[in-house]
Amino acid sequence: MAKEDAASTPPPPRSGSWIKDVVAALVVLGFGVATWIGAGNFPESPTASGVGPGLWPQFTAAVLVGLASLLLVKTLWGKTVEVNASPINQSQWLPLILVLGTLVVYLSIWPIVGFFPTTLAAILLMSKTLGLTQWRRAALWSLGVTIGVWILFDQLLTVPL
Amino acid sequence: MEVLFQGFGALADFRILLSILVGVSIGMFVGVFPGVTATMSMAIASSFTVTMSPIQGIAVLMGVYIAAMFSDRIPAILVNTPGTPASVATTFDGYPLAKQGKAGLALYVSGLGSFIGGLVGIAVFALVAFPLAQLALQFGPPELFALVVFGLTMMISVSGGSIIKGLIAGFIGLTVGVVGLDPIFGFPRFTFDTPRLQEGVSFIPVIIGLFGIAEVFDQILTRRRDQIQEVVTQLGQWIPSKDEYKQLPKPLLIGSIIGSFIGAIPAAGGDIAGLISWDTAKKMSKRPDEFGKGSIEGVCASDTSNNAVIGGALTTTLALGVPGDTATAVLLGSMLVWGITPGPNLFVEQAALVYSIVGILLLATFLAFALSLIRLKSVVKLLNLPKSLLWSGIVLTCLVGTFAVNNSLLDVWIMLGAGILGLIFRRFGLPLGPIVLGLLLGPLAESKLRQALTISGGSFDIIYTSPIAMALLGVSVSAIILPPVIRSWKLRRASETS
Repeated sequence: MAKEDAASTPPPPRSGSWIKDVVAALVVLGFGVATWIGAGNFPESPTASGVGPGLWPQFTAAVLVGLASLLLVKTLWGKTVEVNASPINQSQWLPLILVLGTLVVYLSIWPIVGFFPTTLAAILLMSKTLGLTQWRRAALWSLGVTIGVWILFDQLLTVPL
Repeated sequence: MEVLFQGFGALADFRILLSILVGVSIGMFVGVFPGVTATMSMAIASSFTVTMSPIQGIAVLMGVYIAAMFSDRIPAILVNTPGTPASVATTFDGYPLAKQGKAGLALYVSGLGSFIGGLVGIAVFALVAFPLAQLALQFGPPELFALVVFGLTMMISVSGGSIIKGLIAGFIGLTVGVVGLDPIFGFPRFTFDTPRLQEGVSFIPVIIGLFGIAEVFDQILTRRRDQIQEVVTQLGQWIPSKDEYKQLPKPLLIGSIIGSFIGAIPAAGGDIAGLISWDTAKKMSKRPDEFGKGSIEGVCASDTSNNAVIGGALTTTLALGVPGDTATAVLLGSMLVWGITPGPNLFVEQAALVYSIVGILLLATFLAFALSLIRLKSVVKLLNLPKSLLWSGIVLTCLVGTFAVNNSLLDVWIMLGAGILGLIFRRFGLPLGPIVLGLLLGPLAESKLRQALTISGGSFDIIYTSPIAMALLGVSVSAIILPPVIRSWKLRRASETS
């Protein structure tokens, strides 16, 4: 009776790490294959020893393909090692995306508009996005940090901003 | 002897003393904040130190490193949160002591341990590095290739988690390190017709991205507003009693020995040393029951060792050219940017610089200890600084610092890309240390392997017939294969017993 119960009991659902491992393995596999193909187009060595520019990248690519395959096999047919990272707070995806978006825009317009106004705006936006509720405090912080960084890099280290 | 005086004499320059002060100040400040690691601080500092002279830059970086390892015990004791991973073991007894009204005592004992451990580490470096470099001068291309493989596998082995993922991370780093001109024939590899990439992937933007931006992004993603940390504000008595002083010599000795030894193993850092020292001190203590509940021996042993690792880590980094941990990997990368190649030849061609580094370490250690004794109650207030301010400041420093390396926005975009990749790698369980080490040491490994094969006419016998190379490769393979084998054997025994 116990054996039948065991047979009819469904296996426990796979953890989220399973999907992550499959994705990671496939991406690394693709990266390895692409590197192998790219390195295959490098010229041969002009010397007799045969150690050309393609040897090393093809070696690392081959190992990556092997490791990715091993990870894929282990994930699909073996046990999954739980990733030991802090759990994600789902409500924090939006702040992260907003910060990333702010940085992309900041880097795009910095050469056009200049360091000071773009940095002031970027720090202000980031501070508010990350939880600083008071506008006045965020503005003061933004001004302080921008001036501080400008003094350090532009004035003391003579890096033209 | 003349070289010794020349090395120490270089420190008489006011600018170098100021650089040490700047580095120590930065380190003392950032070490207080949980989540800002010594590696992160050094990575960010490396961006503006490249504009300085090499010795000034080294003074800043070493100051940051040493001081961060001093001040990381403050949040460990007052908030039960390690300031850097190296102070994890300090929380075991530091916070319980603080809850008993003995925070000042814990801070003093841990500071004393950090100071003594730091001095012992420096002594180890001064005594061992030169003979080790002399030995390494005998190494040829096969041995140097094997040494790099050894360093990489050690980092993978101690990085924790899946060995397969660690290996994947290492080989990703090795592969990315291929970008640029072929070191022997000058053929452009994976440069996509971009002249900037012919010099290779810029190391400093990548490490700032991986250790700076990725860390901030990860903290944003995992942050919980309801996490309340109770900060102990009453410090109480600082100076130990006579009986308490008598408890200190044993953990000081244990921490110093273990820390120096662990530091010399590539990739094993203060966190591992602290944990092993704490455990060893407990086993050798007359009061093992106090450990975990407020033992000053526990606090002393862990902090002594996590500062003693600095000397051991520098020994392997400078004498062999293989980083002792991720922080020294940053130092190594910065030295390469300055045109200084760590390794045995450094001790022949620039021996004075090595002595200068010893002097910098001593000065920074004394200065950090002196600053750590200042009973700044405002330090406690720093722990309550809103994360939004801290993160935005760090991000801006990373961006502008990266720009400062080559006055190039492309570097900043590379840094941001590395930051996003670093976050993805963390979430997928791929350790970042091996990626950085692979990127850093890949070109060296390739050039040594190719040199060896050129000498032997393409035959791998040149490696098989080298006892040193085979010994290093043997240890490397064992470091990868043994941990999962032992783990699986233990699991099988445990299931058989149950």
